[in-house]
Amino acid sequence: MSEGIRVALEHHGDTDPIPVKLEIFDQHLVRVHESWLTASASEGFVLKPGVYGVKASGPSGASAQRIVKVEPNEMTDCSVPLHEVSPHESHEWAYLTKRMDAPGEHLLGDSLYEGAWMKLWERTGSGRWRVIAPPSDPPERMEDGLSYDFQAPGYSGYALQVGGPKIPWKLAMLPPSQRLMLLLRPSAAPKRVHPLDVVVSGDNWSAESLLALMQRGELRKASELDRESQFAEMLLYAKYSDPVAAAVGGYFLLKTNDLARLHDWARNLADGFDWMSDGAVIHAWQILGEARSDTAARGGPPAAARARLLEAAGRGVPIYTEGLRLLRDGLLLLDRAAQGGDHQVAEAMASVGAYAEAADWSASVTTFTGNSPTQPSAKPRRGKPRGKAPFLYVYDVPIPEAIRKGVLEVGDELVSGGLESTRARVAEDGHLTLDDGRSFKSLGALQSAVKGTTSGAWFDWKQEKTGAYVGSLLSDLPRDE
Amino acid sequence: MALILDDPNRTVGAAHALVIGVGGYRHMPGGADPKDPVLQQVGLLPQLTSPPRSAVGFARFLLETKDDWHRPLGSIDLLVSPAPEDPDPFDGLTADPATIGSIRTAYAGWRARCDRSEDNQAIFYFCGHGVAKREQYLMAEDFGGDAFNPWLGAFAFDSTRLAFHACAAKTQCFFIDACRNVTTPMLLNEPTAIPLEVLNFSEGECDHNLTMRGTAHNERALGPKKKVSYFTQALIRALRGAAATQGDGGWVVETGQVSAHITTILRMVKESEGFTQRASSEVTGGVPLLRVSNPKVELVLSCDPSDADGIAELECTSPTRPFAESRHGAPWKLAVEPGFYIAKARFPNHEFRDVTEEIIAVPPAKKPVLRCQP
Repeated sequence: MSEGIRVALEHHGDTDPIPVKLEIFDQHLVRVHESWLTASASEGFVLKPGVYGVKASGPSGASAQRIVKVEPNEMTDCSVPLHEVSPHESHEWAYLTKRMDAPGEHLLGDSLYEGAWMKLWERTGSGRWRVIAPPSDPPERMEDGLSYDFQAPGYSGYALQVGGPKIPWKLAMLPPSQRLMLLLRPSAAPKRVHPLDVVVSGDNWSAESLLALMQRGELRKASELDRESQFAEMLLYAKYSDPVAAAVGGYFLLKTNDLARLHDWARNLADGFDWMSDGAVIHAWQILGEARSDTAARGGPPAAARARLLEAAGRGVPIYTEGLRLLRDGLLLLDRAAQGGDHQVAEAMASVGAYAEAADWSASVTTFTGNSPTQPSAKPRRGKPRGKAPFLYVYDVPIPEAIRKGVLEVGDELVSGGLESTRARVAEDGHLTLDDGRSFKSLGALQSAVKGTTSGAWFDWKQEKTGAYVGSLLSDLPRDE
Repeated sequence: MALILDDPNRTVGAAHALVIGVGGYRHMPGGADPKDPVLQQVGLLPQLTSPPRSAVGFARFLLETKDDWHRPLGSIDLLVSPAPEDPDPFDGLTADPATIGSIRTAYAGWRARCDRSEDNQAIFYFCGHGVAKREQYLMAEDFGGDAFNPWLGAFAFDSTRLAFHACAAKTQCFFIDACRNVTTPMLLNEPTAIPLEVLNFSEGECDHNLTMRGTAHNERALGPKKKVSYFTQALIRALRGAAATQGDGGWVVETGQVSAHITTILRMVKESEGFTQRASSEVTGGVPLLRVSNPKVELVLSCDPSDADGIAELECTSPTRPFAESRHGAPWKLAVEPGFYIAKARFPNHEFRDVTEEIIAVPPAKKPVLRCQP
């Protein structure tokens, strides 16, 4: 009988298909095995007796590990607690596939987030954008993050916008996908960077994994993953079923200068999906790259590349940040080559430049501060959404708003559980008042005063007359239509 | 030209560095020849004491490690303009002033040295004022010398970077430690600075590109007064081994690992709450930069919930070599050799659950949380 380690990964079911890098090290930290597995896999490895380190890492770099002693003639079971990378089951996908700062000290119940909202934009067939009703499934709200799992209404451009009375308006492009996952959470330092981290993922984990590795600069690991499964080509090949994932495959092949593997797929992606600009960007850079390797064609940038870049700029901002960077760089190349004399390029440069100025270049999907998908701004608005377009509150609803929408009524008693329950009353002025006369304009502020923390505000308090948790009332808050 | 290293035996298969630090801005307030119209056009850009120290610190690091690089250092050109408040940041090194003219001249010489062989490695470092609109613009000492077009004293970095891909050197590293935000007056117009080199369409991207910026778009790069900036401290620490990985022949620092770990190392350099500077990188290819010996790992043990920190009895041992340390209370920060460790938190009065954590400690840091919720 041989000896070694039998590795299983402990994780939550939803993250089954996410590729996980498994590494086994000897005691000198020399890697004796490395491979990519899906989180659901278990595998045995023959190893000599000794002490080994087993490390499982998501594409984000978040990892769990175990140290195992291999005895002669024994297969030792090793269960790696991959689920420990995330504080919540519903956030596990984000911690495994996205670069996440360690959670900060701020919570969504903090006054900074009072009245914070989000709304969904859709690109229409004519290329205009309109606000659409958020999907009916309620998001899962926790103090340290709101997670939202829904299906994009169709195949088009989508963007999520967040904002609030104290929160600059910000948009993140959404990859239309069978299943879209969002995580909104307080940033680690809300006064220095944008107060809300917006984390977005589609459910094509091959694409998301390549994207995460590219974003971290881990091209060696991305290439290994691609080599083991030919991910990039598969993604491009399946462009008609998932054009957005195909774009990720295209960006990867551009990044690794593997132009031959792009075949004609970039052209087809650009021609077949005019609602996204990523395909045109990829095809433009394929043309540029091929022209560079063709010594007979040396000269200025090929006209076809110029046409594709202008086409991309006309279609709007790319879904992925890598696309925005390539579009900006491509136009920069054209603009410098024409010494500012190409007015169409200059115009496109001005349009794309406005997104570049407002962009968060550390995000995987194009993310920028702005008032709408077509109005990026480095100095965006704050405040409530304007007009009657539907939106959802992120966490803490201003009490007057809850009254206006009939969820709470003036005179309602709210009780916080436990043997020594505390009562608060909804006052006419839209505040919550305690028996001792103290008054608060939000449930988070009330909770903070009563319990010393905003944590649990919407789940500790019940409406006395109905027995309903205020949190569930919040989820059911009727939307403006 | 101030070549502080010029090894005639290392022109091919060598690394060549251009290091620029600008702290004194002649035409900005506090400079020798301030010009009000420039202030009105671009807003206040103060004199800076950190960039000269940062450039000198980086150059010193290159000198100290010149033989450890995968491509040993063949030349280092240093340009520094000190702030009036800190006139001698040179640490015994010689440097030309970092005017736009001397930057252009030095760039041309450096580029020619890099261009001698595809086996060469290019290292470009800049620390000073920067702004970003459509691209990032970096300001020389004489920025604002022409009050009608202050941008003649700056250069367009992104275009310069794109153009340098045409250089023969297959490995190209650019480190830019400068702000990427804009002042309010700059919102109105796009700066007109030009690149240091004209773009050449016929050349593709270099094989191994590591282009790092000390801060994210729209954010500022920070540094303590008269000391090396936080990003440059992190960069030097990364290259000294905090970004090391175990290669076939020992510990090496690779381009991709510097990029992957730099923000973690920034947090190690500046630990205070609210410090959120995030470096950003563009990486293609991947290549060892230098070999290091005895890298250390920052191991930080803490408890969850944090109420347990104050009463935890902590122990850290190695299952593979003689190593055992203990102490009362978390968080506990240790600098350890890379390897396997077993961390334990015990609570003699059983307020919390005793826990054991198995750790593979590799650079730069490992911060296991001991989950001892009863």
